[in-house]
Amino acid sequence: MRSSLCTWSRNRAGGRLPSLLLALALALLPALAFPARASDLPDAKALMRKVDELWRGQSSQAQLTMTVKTARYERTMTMEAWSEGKDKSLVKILAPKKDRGIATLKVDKNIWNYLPKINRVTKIPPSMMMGSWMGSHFTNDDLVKESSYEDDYDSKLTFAGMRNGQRVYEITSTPKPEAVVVWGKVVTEIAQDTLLPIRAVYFDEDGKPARTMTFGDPKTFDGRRLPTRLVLLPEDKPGESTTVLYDAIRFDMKLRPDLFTLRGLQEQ
Amino acid sequence: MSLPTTLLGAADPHQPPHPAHVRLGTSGWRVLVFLAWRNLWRNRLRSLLTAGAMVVGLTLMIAYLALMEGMFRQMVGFATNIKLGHIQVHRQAYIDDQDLYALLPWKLVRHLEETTPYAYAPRLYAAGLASAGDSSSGALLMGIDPDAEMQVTDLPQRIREGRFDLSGARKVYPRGPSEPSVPEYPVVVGYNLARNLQLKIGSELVLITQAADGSIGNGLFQVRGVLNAIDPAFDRMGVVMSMQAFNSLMFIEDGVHELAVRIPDVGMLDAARDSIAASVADWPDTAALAKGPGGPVRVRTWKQINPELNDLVNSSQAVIYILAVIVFVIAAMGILNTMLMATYERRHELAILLALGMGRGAMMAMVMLEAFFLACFGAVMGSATGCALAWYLQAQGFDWSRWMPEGLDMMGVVMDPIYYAHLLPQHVVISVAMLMVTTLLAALLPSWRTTRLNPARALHG
Repeated sequence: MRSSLCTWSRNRAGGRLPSLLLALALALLPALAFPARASDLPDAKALMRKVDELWRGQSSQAQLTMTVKTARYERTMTMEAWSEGKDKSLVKILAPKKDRGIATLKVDKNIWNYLPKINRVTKIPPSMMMGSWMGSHFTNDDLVKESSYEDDYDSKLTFAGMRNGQRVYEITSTPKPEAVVVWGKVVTEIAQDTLLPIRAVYFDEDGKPARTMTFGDPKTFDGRRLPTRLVLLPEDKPGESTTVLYDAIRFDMKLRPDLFTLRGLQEQ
Repeated sequence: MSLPTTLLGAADPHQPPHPAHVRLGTSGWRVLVFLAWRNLWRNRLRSLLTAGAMVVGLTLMIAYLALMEGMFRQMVGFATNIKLGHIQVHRQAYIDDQDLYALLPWKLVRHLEETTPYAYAPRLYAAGLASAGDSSSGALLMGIDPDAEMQVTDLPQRIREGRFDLSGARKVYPRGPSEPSVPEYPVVVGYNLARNLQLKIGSELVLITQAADGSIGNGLFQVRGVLNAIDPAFDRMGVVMSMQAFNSLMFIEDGVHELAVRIPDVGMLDAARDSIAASVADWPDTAALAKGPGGPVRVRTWKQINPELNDLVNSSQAVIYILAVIVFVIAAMGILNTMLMATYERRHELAILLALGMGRGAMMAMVMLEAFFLACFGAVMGSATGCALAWYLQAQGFDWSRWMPEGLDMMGVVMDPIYYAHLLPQHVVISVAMLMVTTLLAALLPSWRTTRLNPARALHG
């Protein structure tokens, strides 16, 4: 059934949600400085942490445009998103009018949706975590798993050099034995000069690529340079994609203490 | 009693005196039958015990065959009546991955209704999220036409609580009386979903899904009924609603995902499928549909849709007959034993018969006749008691709810916890034939041994 908030079979999902939800959901990790060893190969874990921190401050607020392209339709939604720490995030749909006010709250491993038309809050049950988030190719699980990426995966530098005319680091993340994740591995390419991510490929447990995330259009917001165009391409649905554009993002502002509560979720 | 000359090999001047060449005339057979019959009554207890074993074996065999037949019919009938129907029509892409957009256009549905004599139930499906209070669960939304559904399946009758009434909608004001109202449509839910979400009759149910246009479909619904066991997935997630209610969430106006078909004669399953397929092929836009992303229209019988169920029935039938053979082989051992004893005990008189000039072939025929009479008696009595037991099980059913209160889940089909036997003439014929064959086979060895009897030694011993 090709339905989205709710699909249980459609998306092979999970793992780190590399970007939109990084911005949405990431929080400040203890500010571990990126080791400045100019000549040595960089530490993969630190590189990944650096990538994670790109969209993350103590808190953040962003305006996003998400375009979901499927074989049947193309839909564009604009959203506003807030995050605090790595465990709290809130997204509200601003447009189109039909979906305006629909909101998602993530606190730790829990996700709630608010539906303004019927004025009801629903919690996503564990069985629906693989379902699509807001009709996109992201899953609910992407929101939840993102914050535990470092706990779930071991990252290793597997390549450093020229690729596609660009000096890159390639980092391969494999799940820790005890981690409950759906990906067999995640391979991330990072540009050596900017240390910004270029591409992340998610492999399934059989070692086949399942989806690819590309990062583009780096811009500077609030003093940070970060990719603002993120495209997720599912391998099993050629021609389909979810594109997220950051129209604006601010960091480290003071947010209302009740924003990440069910009350904040329902506020218009 | 004098033996007629036809029994005495030496009396026939044209035949060599070897017993194997003795010919039995009509009167000779009559005597043999008489002797065999008398012999049976000489040790009534033994004969009765042997025949009794046959009666019990045959009774159980007939009842068992009828019970299994009943179970298969119940399983198949259950599967087809509850939700499957005899035949289903889909687009290929719906079969492959439940493509929400793989629709059978309404015009095709009308065309089939007009050109074929069968009953059609149109259905729409979607995955969604059901939520009530603080609980939520995955949901399988099913939009139906209740009147059409009633002509095809028993789904509307399989209600545990409440009633199967999907009509109407009431206005509710979730955002307060001054804000716009939304319709609250009635739904009927699977019993496990009702249990997991603690739904009662009248409970509010929130359904969320992704509509066909990509928007987030959401609405309020009211539980009017709880279904009985359908299949495990449907019990856990099924939410049945009217097509109108379904489309208030999903916005699929131009077709249906599934047509379930009921045909009057299940024996004509393949013919009915072919006639529906022919009617589909006659419809002018069929070729255009096949080129579309939804793929060609497929017409499949329940056997094609649920081959596991069909295979299960077929393979179980083979197993049943293997079991029948085993039962009768065991019975044959008993018969063999009794007959060996009976001939051994009577070796004196058999030797006398031989000494009097009875042919060895006649002797063997006599012992075989004894076994045949026993088998006939067992067959008549066993058929009578077997049919009686089968009819009782057909009327009363065999209740095993004590062991399985929720019914047995077999290949995704939930069975009622009561079997009803279904006796067919072939059950009696096959059982009796097997009894006869095994009895006569078992009697071969003892009767052959009588021909090996040495009269002189037997009379001395």
